[in-house]
Amino acid sequence: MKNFYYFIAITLLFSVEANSQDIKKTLIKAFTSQDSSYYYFKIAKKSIKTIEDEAQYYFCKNARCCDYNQLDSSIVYGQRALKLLQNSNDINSLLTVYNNLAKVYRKQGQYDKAIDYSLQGIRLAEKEKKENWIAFFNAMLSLTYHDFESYQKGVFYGKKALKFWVNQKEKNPDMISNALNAIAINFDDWNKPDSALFYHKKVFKYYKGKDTLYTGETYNNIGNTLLKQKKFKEAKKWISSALKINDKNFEINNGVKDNDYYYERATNYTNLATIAYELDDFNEAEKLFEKAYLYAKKSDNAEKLRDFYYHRAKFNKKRNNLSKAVQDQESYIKIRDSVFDVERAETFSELEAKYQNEKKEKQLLQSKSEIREREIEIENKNTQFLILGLISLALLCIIYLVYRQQKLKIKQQEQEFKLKSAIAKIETQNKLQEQRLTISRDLHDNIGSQLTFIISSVDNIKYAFDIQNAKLDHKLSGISDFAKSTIIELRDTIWAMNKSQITFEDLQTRIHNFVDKAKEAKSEIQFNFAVGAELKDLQFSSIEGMNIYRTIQEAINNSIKYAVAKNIDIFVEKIKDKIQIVIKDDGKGFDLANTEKGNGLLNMQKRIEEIKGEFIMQSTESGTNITISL
Amino acid sequence: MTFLLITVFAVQLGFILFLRNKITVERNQFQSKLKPLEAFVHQLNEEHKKQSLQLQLSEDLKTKMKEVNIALCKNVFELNYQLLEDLYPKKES
Repeated sequence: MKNFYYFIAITLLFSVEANSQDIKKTLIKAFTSQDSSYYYFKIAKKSIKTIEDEAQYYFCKNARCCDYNQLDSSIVYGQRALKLLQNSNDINSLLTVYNNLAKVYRKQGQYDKAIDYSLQGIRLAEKEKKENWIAFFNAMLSLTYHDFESYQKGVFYGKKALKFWVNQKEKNPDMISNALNAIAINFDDWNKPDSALFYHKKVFKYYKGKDTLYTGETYNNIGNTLLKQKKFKEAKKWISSALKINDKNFEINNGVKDNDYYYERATNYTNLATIAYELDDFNEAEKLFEKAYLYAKKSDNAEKLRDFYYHRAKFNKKRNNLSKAVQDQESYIKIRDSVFDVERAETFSELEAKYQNEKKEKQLLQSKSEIREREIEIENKNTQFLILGLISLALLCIIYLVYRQQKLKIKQQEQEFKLKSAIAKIETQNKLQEQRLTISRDLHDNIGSQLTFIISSVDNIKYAFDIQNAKLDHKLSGISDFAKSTIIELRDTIWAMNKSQITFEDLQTRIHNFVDKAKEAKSEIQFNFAVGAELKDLQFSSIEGMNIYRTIQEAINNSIKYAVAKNIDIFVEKIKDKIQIVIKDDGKGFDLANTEKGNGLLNMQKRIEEIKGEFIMQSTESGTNITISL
Repeated sequence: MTFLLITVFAVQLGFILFLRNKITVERNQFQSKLKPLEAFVHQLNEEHKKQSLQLQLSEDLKTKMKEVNIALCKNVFELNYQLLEDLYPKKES
């Protein structure tokens, strides 16, 4: 254990910054030197340049004095080091000073202060999350509570320290042994020797071969327990072995008489003296007590002196040396009372309560922060779920849009294909129709020329031969007129065919021409032809135009031929949303019911119905009236 | 994680907007491509209609011409008959 503290102190010294190399070297020499320590410390003090150097100087002085049992000096240097280190970042040095101060105060029997420093150390170690230091301080608390005879707490803290060291991957036998000893001595003085022996003997599990030289304390403690069980011979054996181990260690350490040297021997000799007087070997006991007294006194350890006086009082009592027994008893009570006064016990409780309160507050804060963290985590998860939901929704949207896009593309392709097919079909049909129309035109030209030939032939016959036969002449004239009228009809049709749209104005011109010709033939008939101005630009298809023209032509022809009319009126006007064509004559009329309709009338009706119009014919004795509604 | 998810969502939104825009653009492009085709079809239909009307008129004329042909034949026959009637007494004398 002592070696471990040396290791920590030297490691800490090595870890200081480069600018303090000189003071560091000097302090290492001062700390490790047997005889020239004071000299090196003096040199180191002169080399102090910074606050850090000063802190290191007092830290080393504190450690050195602690190890060499200069308790008061250790406290003074420790307090100075503490002040300087509390403002620095050197946590390990600060924790070491806390540990040293706790150790020194424990030796002095000022357990309240020892516990106070141990608890301060634990707080700092917990804050800095230095688990090994927490375990150190727990072991220190266990030992302090043992010295204060508060064994239950001693066992509690010892077990905490043991748990930490045992759970480490790399087991440290010194640390485990320290914790086990702390638990065992608490059980021992708690009058639970079996538990004490159980924990003591566990130590041997971690030490093999020459390492058993580190178990001197355990040998002594086992002997002490056996002593309490009145197994004196066995106890003597263990304690003698402990003494031999301690002597060997003293030899190995080049005869360094440090604090442990006196403490261990004080313990060994007190125990051996007790065994001697229990075995009624009073002379031996006296000698051993004398040795024990010397060592206990030099150890400067209150607990050791207290134990010594307690056992020597009992020895003197047994020897009937009552005056000495009373004297030792008084010394014992004096030390005990100085250590175990009520106020100190209260301070203990207060310190512990303060520590526990702080710990609970810390735990409360920690749990609050954990709850907050969890809440934040839950909130984050909720947000993430929400975003995930949105992502899923967006993904669905994307799938739908891609599907729609594809569908649209297919639809467009189909539409385009249909349209192109329709175009191709119509084009083919148009070509066919074009061919048919070309043939028709050729035919019409042919018919036209043939009819002209007939007319010319008939006229030539009429003029070339002097035809006396009136009937024959009439026949020839009939054929010529018929051919002429056919040519007119042919021209009308070709005119209509060449016009895609026929306006009322075109119709009006054509009807006027027809009426003019009719006037020439029947000059006694008065023709009236009127078209509403708003209808002049109205357009019809060639079929519609042709059918209207033919119907009007037929109606006029009928009036001229059969009605014996004086006036023939043709009116075209717009009534509401309909076009009304009226052909009216003031002729003799005819009986519609009793007259069979000829081809002319039927054709008129058919032509109008073909163009979705209405054909109404009324005839009275005062004339005939034909109304066409379109 | 949350930032990653937000980034993914933002990228998806961007992609959705891109797809929507693409669909609209494609639709407009198709419409503009379709319009001349439709106009052409319309023109062809008009042409077809016009030709149909012309053919119908031609058909009507054909019917009329048949009637004319019959009438002319009848007239020529009657003329011939009359001529023969007139010539016959000459041959007898």
